[in-house]
Amino acid sequence: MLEAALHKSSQGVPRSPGRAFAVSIMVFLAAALALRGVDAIPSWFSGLPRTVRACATLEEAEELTGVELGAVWSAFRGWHPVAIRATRRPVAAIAVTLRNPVEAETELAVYRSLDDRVPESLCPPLPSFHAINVPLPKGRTATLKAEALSSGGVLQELEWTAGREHSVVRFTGRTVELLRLGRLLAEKDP
Amino acid sequence: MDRLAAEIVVHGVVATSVVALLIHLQPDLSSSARFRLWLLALLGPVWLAPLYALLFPARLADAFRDDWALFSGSHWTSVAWHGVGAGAVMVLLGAGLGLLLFLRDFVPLAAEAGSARARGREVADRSGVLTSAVARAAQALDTSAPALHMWNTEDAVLACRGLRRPVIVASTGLVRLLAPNELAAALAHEIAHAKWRDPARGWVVVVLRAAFFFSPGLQVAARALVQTMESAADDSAARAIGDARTVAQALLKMVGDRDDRLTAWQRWKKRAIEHRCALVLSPGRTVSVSAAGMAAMATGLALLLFFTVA
Repeated sequence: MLEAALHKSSQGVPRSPGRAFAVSIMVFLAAALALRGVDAIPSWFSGLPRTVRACATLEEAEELTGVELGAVWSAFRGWHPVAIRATRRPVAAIAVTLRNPVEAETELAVYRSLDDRVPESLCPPLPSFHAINVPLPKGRTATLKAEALSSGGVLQELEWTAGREHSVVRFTGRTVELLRLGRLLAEKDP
Repeated sequence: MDRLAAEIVVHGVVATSVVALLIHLQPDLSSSARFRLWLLALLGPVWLAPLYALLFPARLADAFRDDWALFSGSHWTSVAWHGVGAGAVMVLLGAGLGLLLFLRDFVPLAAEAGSARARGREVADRSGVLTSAVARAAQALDTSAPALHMWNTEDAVLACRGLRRPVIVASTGLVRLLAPNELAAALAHEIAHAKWRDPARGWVVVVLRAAFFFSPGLQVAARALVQTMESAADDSAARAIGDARTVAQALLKMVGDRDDRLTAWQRWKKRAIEHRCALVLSPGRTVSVSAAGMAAMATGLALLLFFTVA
């Protein structure tokens, strides 16, 4: 046993004190890199930027951001929530994606922020090829756009501002249906 | 409070990992340098987490977490199973592991302390063998000889006890087990503990471990710190008697060589002692870290923990 200990002890190589500093720097850098790597894992999993949080409930998203989007639930009762996301930076905003219970390929995404725009981290910009103004309840006007998806498909987008809230609705279904949904939401705006 | 506890858990893991890596990559560090590094890993998270919460509340804001932090626990809240966030799960698992590590050491320690009391009755050192050996070892270590309490038991008992005035507790069985030079080495080891008031330091570590039972990093650092205190006492004993091999022989004789009769706790102690033997016998463990070097490492660790937010 003692011989084993002696053998083990002979493996140590004396180092110069000067190397201690270099080793310390290396260890701290490695630790910083490791921490950054661990921090990035949720983003790799979810594909979301680190400023965006995936929320389990709309209440959680509303509590996190102070943005209210409760009207979506009452307006689209029966639609299945696909994703609820929230961010507080650069501005507080929520994104809710819903799926039509009957036509599974029809999706609706509602974005709302407390600013005159929705952050790109939540609502990535899409190239639009057609835009017109359409009237909304309470004397408001919305912009209706047709946007091209990278997959080659097309979606409709309705965008308007009510008070300090800015809303965007993206829909893969028919335009007339989007306008109906948009008016439903706008009616519940303050 | 929950967030502070979570920060202590995360900081403990980071500090302990960094110090363990620093020590692993520098096997030539002296015992005192190792002791100070483990102390850094033990105490750093305990006082830095509340200090940062008090002085830098902006660390908790999204701007700091998203733009500056190396790690932020809030980024893990997005990963969830059935509504339970991965961040919360990891902190809870860490806390459970911390409690297990604390109990793994504390329960056998308490049991051993209880059985030691009932082990034998105190007798006078009539032959004077131990008393004179203690006096010689104390002289070699340049310290006053602590009081000696001798127990009449066949078990090989040797310990340094007492918070304010440490005493050496030894048994008649020990005198029978060890050769005179090994006895001198073993006593020098315990007198080194008495010189540095290690029993009191040990109790401070136990109190810290109990208070922060939920931090696995702190539990690992505390255990390593105690091991380093033992190793430092081995080194002192080796210098005092001028022979590291005798110190190792005494240690190995006292722990015994029959694994099948040992409990899991005793087997761990045996492995730890074998590791200490390897350390005391290894040449060149002399690189100390200057006060400036320690300050630089403490600053580096403090910076690393500053940018680590639970």
